[in-house]
Amino acid sequence: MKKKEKTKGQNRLSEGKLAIILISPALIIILAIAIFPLLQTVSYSMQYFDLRFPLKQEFIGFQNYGRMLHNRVFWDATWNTVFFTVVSVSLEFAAGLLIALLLHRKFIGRGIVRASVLVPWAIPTVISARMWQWMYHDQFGIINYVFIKFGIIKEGIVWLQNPETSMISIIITDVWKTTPFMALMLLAGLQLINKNMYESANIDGANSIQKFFHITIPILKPTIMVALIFRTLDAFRIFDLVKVMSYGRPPTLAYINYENLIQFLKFGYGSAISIFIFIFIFIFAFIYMKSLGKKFER
Amino acid sequence: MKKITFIFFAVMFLLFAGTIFAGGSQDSAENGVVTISMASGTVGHELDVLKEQIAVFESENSDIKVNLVPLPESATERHDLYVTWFVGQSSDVDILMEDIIWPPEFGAAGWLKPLNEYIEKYNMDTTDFFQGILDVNTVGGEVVSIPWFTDAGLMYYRKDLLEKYGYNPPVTYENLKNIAQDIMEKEGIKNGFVWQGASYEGLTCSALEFIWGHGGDFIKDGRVVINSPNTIAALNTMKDFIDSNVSPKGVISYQEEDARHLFQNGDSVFMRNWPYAWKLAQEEDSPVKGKIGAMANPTGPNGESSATLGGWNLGISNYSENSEAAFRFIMFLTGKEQQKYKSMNTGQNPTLKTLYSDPEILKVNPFYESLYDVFVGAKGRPGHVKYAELSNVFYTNVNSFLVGNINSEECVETIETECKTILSN
Repeated sequence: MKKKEKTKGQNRLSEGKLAIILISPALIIILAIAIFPLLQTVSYSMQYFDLRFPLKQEFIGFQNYGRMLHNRVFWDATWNTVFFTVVSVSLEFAAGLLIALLLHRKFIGRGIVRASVLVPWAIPTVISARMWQWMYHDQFGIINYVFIKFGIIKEGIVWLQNPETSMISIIITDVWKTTPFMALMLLAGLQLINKNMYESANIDGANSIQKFFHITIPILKPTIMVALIFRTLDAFRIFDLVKVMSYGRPPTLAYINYENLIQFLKFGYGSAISIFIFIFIFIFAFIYMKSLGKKFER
Repeated sequence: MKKITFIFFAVMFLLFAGTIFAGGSQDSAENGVVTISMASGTVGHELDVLKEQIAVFESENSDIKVNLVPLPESATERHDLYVTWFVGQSSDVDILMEDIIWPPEFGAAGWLKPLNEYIEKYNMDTTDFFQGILDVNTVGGEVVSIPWFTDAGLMYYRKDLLEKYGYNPPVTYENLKNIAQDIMEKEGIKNGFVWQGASYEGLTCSALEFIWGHGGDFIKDGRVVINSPNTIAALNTMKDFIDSNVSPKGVISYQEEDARHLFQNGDSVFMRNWPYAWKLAQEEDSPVKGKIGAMANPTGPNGESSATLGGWNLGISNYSENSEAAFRFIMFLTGKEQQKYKSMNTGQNPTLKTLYSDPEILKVNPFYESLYDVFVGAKGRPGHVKYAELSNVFYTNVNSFLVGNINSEECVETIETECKTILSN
């Protein structure tokens, strides 16, 4: 018996080695697709690399970053992006949670409602951007039409260009589009909660609010964290709505990144902005992951 | 079971790999017939007319086939699409339709094929082209694109309403404002004057007409001269139209088509737009058919009537594999016969001087004769390789001013400082 076991042990790879071999194809692909371009972008960001002056390419260290940090448009875009992220993610979370709680209950037609809630998420962003753009139009748009009909305003508001309303308009469209995603993630988390907990709480005489804050939320926390990470990272990189719906108003980081790279052909400077966005998101993700880890340890 | 699974996946993989290689290059030369691809706009009747022209060309040149690649409506998006092709060194598109402001930029980046050798080889006569336009298309002594059609900003007006109330077409912006207000009230028309005020290149075109009309300027001889009392006065005039409700608040979000929709619907007395709008407004289903006129832009004090030079030109990608065939098609399209056909069917202005006195063309576009001086005298935007960046600073700040975020002094000061920085780097 012992002899057989020894031979078996020598012929079989240790689990660790097997794991490395099995993971390596995926790792190599990730390295090629993600790490290599990242390193290339970092390299570009430290060069004077302007396609309009192709012969002048040279290494200039951190000058692009210096220029970026002194640029007014850059800081405007950063502020807009942070504001947009905080507000839209909060609204999406609140609305998503409400919808998830509703869908968690059994009622007639729940299947249909659950499917239809997903429709905004399913429509390609470019199409919903154009759709909302038309709805927001100052003379032909339905939003102004309805508001004027109900006497809320006298004449059409230029939703997408007015400084007071352009940010709100983009946030509303984004919330409309992404709440279903939040709702679905939170619903999945809700369905994992053990019903027995609520029953014992009822026996102890807990009311709805207490049940919500002391049972539902704590158990839902991991799901909430994951959903928030996803949405925050996505919201920070908002581009399609800003480009297609409001033509760059208000400018966000991803938008000015695109502008500098493709419209001005400033590949060096544009890469610096890309790396800035990357670092920002990386730090965010890192902090989120760390706090997520702590929750699990408890 | 394991063996079958393995064989199944191996076969799938081979099939998949096979399709990748079988795709191959859509090679252009088969039986001596070369296929060239042209990227073209699709505004109004452009696409239909181009297809008709392609049919004629192919019947006269059996060794060339032309493939059309439709472009997005917005000039900015076209530019960005071209950049993607150029940076990828794509040979997929041979002929590119370029806005008049791109040849200096694309030429400097080495993306356009120099055409002097073909012009010589095929003995192309370039003397009938408007010299100013041809100059913009020449980079470092080499012609890099051929002028296809030209554009200049015009002031459209409701001829029927002006006549009804006994008004002559206005020569000053002040006059225009008064006429607009009067007619708006008496006819119950919602808008007096619509133009392009959104934060995009079209605003640069519109705004420059106001600015030149007041004696100001943006960049002259490579120097930033925007910070002047005349320019500030021009900006204030623009804002005044909005504040006095002669122009709708929404004008800060309008591009060409938004303005045209309102004017063509009969919802505006005046409109600043390009010549393409004329033909569309005169079609059978247009509510304002036969009721409109077009004239040169009015002026403010100290200025002269000015129109911004627009227009599109045909260039060949330096990565094209069929540049000679492409050139033959360009020569065909920019020749007298085809430019005449295009002008009569799309309303787009020819780039050949002699066509402006052709009686058949004048029948369709009568304002070519009366506005000939406008077209000849149209002023170009600064032809600088960094133009896109400079214009971006200009139109984002002017739009900010029109929206009410900053005042006119701040606006010109910011533009001045930032443009100077861009030019000095």
